[in-house]
Amino acid sequence: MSDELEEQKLDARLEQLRRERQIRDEATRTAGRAMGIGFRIGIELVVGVAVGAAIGWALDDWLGTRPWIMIVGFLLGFAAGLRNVFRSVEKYDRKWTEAEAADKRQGKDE
Amino acid sequence: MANPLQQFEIVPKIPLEVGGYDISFTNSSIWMVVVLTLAAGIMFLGVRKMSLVPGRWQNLAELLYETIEETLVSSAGAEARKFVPIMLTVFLFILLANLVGLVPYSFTVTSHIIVTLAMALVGFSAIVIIGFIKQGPGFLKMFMPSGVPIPMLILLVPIEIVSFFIRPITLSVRLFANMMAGHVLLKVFAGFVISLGVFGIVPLIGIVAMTALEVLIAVLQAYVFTVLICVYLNDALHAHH
Repeated sequence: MSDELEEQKLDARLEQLRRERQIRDEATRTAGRAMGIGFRIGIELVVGVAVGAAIGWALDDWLGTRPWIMIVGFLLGFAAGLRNVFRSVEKYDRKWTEAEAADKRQGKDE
Repeated sequence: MANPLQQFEIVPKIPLEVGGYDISFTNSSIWMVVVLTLAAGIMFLGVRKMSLVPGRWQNLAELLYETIEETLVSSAGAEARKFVPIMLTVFLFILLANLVGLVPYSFTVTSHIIVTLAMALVGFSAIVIIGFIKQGPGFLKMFMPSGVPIPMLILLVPIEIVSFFIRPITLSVRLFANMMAGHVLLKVFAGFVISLGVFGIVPLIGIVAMTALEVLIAVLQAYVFTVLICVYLNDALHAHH
């Protein structure tokens, strides 16, 4: 009888440890992912502006319209950079919202 | 103080010239060969003694393969599975180039934009070609955001086109800038250690911490480069919504 009790206790402890570890793993993974995203989107904006302006500069050289196309290219590049940032964040946002909703559902079940 | 940019100098080891082009075998080439040998070596050791209970090397090889496969499938779908070998090659090459570059007296291949841009352009061109093969002219629809009034398209289509064509540039600049900035920073701080005398211990501690950070960045940037190609591949394989 007491053996069974011990076993039950052990199972409970094991279960608790497993759950704690899962939470910890999840936290590390989220932090790592967030850092990855941060690294990704930072450059996006800078390069957008630089490339837009450079394309404009080259077209100005070719068409002799300095500085107008460069100004347009600058703005277009900025918009394109923002668009890329938005696009990459959008996907993660959707994923996170889904994960959160799933967590809530699970919480209710227990 | 030593010039912090000296470490990026390309030195021809075996001068070669073909048809007016300088194609010398340089220190950069040497380290690329080293990286490729290491990559091939890891994989060779990994599959040499295949067993149901994997040994150390097989474990490493399987871990690398599964990480890339999982990333690729989760970002570009199940039909992208046939691209696992090439993506694994790209990942291993960049990862090992970044890590080998951290060893003193070595050379960081990926700290040159020409290397990263070449890789990004090859990937980008392949993705454009795959997109046209899979979707035909419909691939161009990705420049047309759906559900937008026609006057807005005049503004949005150029933005979409620019944002598509800056992809290989952001991809290569991100990798090269991270690798180069880290190495310059380490060199500059190393210069302080000597010029500050006893107080050089402070920048020395900084260098130790920064080296750890550089290892993290080396791995992270290799992964980011691979993930982004997978994400772009998704656009080529699946019609845009």
